Amino acid sequence: MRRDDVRFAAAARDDGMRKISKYTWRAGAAGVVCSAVIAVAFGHHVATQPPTAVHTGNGASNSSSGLSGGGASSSNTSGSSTSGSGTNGSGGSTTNQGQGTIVVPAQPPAPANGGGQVVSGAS
Amino acid sequence: MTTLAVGSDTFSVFGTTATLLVSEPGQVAAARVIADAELAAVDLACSRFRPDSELSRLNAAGGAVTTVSELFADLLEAALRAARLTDGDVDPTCGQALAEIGYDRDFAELRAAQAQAAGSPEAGGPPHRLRRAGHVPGWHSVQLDRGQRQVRLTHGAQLDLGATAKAWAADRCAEIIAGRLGSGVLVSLGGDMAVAGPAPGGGWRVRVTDDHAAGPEAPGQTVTIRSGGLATSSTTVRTWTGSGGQRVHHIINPATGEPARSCWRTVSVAAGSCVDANTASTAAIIRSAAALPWLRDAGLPARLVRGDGSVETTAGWPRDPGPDDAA
Repeated sequence: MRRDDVRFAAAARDDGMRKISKYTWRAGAAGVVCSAVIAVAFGHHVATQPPTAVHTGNGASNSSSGLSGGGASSSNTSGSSTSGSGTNGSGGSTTNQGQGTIVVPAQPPAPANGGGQVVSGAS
Repeated sequence: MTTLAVGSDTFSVFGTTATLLVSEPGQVAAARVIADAELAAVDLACSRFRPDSELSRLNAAGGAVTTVSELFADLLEAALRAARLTDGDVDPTCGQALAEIGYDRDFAELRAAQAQAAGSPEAGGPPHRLRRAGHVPGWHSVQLDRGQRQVRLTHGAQLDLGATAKAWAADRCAEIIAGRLGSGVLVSLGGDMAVAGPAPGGGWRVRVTDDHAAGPEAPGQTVTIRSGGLATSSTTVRTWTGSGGQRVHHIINPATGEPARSCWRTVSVAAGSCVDANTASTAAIIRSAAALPWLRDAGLPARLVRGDGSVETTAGWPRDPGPDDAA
């Protein structure tokens, strides 16, 4: 092989390597930009996850929300009774309104005759 | 069945009628004082029609984080709980949808405006138009940090706590009155009622019907309750005329942003609290036919009235009386 052939081959190889390196960097940079765009476009969905609360038996609750900087923050509250909830403890078979079901009454309505002392209807 | 005499008081609040029944007649005045204070506080916290309310301030905050009172946080927490328990059927972010169908002012003012427009020769129709489906971003758009008492509304959400706040207030009043006075009490706010303390002999007699203002002998059914709450939702009462001349009502289906189309005209539910009863009755209207198995599975006693007046009951609700009593 002539010396010129060797030189041109080496130059072509170096040129190819430069191109591969350049495109690799560009692809990487494009990936970073795309990631940033996706994060900006859809990141708020993470921030808007509903607050979750786990109530303990004594009314204390641990709640988390996405208020702080889009991330989850947690706080402890004690005795944050949703006051109307348990309705004095005699309302239902379960009195902790924080539980994950609609609370059934301690006893169903009983039949009665005649008019009522008060009317339940829509307003 | 004998029922001991009870004291009673009726007054206007939240654009509707409130009734207090107290098992000790001499304590009615004291109960009224307590109720007035509590209801005024709730109104100031979450009225959609008062510019000075916390709710109005939050709706106008443009998505900024807003610090709220303990009371408002309680009310919002109850609303979000109702949304969670009904898979979003009872949604507190219906404020804009309600405004878009014309319910953008106190209902008495809305009715007066409609009556005025109807009587005006130049009026081409009611003052509000039913446009495309309203905007209901969904309860996930509400961020509540309960510990810090901070709230942020995203996606343009506008709150309306009407579905739960009235019932929650009834629970709260009943609980406080019974606790302070030691007597049995029933608090009815526009027909959504909570009871607390010892019930009178025979229980509290309640006439269940379409309209809370209809009177104790209105077509329906009389039952007694001793604890918890009882609430009724209906598509027949809080109604007005849309732009096309159609009647619209205030129970929004969040999935469509429009008034719910239901096979039930009225649903009454008994539950462990008034807010739970109201949550279930409102969701039942929205769920239409699917409400019946849902209420049965949940074990909630309910009375559901179809458009033609036929009645279904669930979970121990007493069977409807004969036509003499129902008609």
